[in-house]
Amino acid sequence: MNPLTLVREKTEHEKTIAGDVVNQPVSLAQSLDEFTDYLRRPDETPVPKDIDERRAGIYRELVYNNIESCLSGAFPICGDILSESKWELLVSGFIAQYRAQTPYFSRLPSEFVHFIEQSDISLYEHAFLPELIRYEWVELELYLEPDTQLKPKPNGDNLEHTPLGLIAPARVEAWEYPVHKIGPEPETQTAQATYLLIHRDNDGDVHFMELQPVAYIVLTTLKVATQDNCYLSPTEILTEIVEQYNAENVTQFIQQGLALFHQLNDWGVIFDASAEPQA
Amino acid sequence: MTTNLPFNSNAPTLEVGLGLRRAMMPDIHDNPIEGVGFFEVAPENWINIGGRFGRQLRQCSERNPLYCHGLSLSIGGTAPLNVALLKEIKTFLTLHQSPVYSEHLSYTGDDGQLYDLLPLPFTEEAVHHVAKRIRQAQDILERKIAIENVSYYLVPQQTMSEADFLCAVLEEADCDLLLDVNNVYVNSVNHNYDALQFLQLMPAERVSYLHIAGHFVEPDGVIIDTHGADIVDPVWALLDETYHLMGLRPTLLERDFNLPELQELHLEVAQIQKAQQQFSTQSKSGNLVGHTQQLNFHDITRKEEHESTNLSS
Repeated sequence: MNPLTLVREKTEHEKTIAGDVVNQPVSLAQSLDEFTDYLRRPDETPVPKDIDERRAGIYRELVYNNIESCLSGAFPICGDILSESKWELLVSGFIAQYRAQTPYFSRLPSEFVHFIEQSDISLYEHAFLPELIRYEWVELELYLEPDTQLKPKPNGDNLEHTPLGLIAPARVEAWEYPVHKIGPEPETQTAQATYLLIHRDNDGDVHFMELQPVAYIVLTTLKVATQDNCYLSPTEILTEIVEQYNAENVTQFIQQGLALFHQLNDWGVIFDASAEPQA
Repeated sequence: MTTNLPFNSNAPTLEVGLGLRRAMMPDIHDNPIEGVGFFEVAPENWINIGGRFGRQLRQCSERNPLYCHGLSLSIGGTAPLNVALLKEIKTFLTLHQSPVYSEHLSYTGDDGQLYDLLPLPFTEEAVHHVAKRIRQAQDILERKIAIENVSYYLVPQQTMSEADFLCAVLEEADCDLLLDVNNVYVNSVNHNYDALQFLQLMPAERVSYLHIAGHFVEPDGVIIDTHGADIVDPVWALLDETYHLMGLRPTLLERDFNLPELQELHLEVAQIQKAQQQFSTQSKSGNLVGHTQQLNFHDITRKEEHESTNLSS
């Protein structure tokens, strides 16, 4: 019995098998549902009437293997960390309980992230697993993300007064665990607040940078301002933060903050919001 | 960038295609396979994909026609037809100027996706249901679509033969047929019928293009349609029969798993070309009756572009 299984109502098909419903003609919808019920929970659901078990097993394997290979490709580290039986349990639990809506197979991993977030955390052996799964997806999602119009790079000479935006294929994320350092054979990880900037460059490669807490605050302010189409200059952003957090050594804070913006410019993650977009 | 093989001007290259997989990128662009005139992709694997993959696909579709072969529309399913997906597909077809959009005669899930081609019952009810949804899809896309005969390993309910079911759907939906020659063979073995007889029942005037692929034989003789092996002789023979019955059609090689070195696929591409050339020669000498429909060749401009790209690169 899969411990991920929830208690649920009997399906129409099971009622038929159990003799609760007698001699109803099977409609197309019923016929398809009977088969997908079986495919989702093959160990608990009888093979539909008049269907050869060997042939039904072919579909059972096709469905499982296809979804499993997509997920193990998207979450290589999680797949390695978990024991084979735990991983199989997660994948079959996902097939049984979750109703993935995206027609885009390459976005199936994001549905798995949702499933994991809704599930019982005690099953995962490692408390960091839901975060690691989300981290692996962010990396892949950035790799695949649609292209947006190339935005002009700011001029470094007048950076502090230039209204800036954060490029679209970039994420500023906070984590409870150092997700970017977890490998296939993790030691017991203790929680440690971690802040990351993950972005895709113009060649299509995905990079991540670990951020200091204050840099995370700066980038989050930049991110929110960009989302609101209310672009701020480094000076405006840093002044806002000084006021909000009552920073002590203001001159030093502003200096370090500007250095951070120059670094962000070198990495290509900010754009000049006052200039015309490039063709 | 490696040197291209010399371009064979006798080859009707635009009649042979290759199913494009992400694993083939970027080699397929840097080092094109001789004889491949068009590509086919599953739009669901490329819609809203940017970055490196997005760029590589654009490079391919700028140089070669891009056929689109859908995967997850679930045209036979009972959940509401995914109109949002169809609209995305429509945009994608326009963006890449795709001459063809096809889908599978199957369903892919229930109230959620299972991402596999599941077997429909062969019943009157299923005919009406699928045909109605194909018509809806054609209305939204504002073009005729082609429906593929899938490989199936069981039939949940059956009141008619596969051939009758398929023909009834095509007729009632007024759509084209993407005839998968390997699937005809696989199904004829798995369900014990005569493949040639099946082909003879297909409406030639609806056949827009062909698929051909390899498969895997299980120890108990059941054939699994893996697209992961070389094409076997009986399937090559069936391709010849198909040309005789239907006339020449664009023919696409599918190879999804156990990918060999990309240039090795040239051997199977060349064999398709050879089958097409043989058929053309025999037709000209009047040896064959064949179905004489106007060939579905692509427009000449594109062909010229293709040749000059090859010669100059």
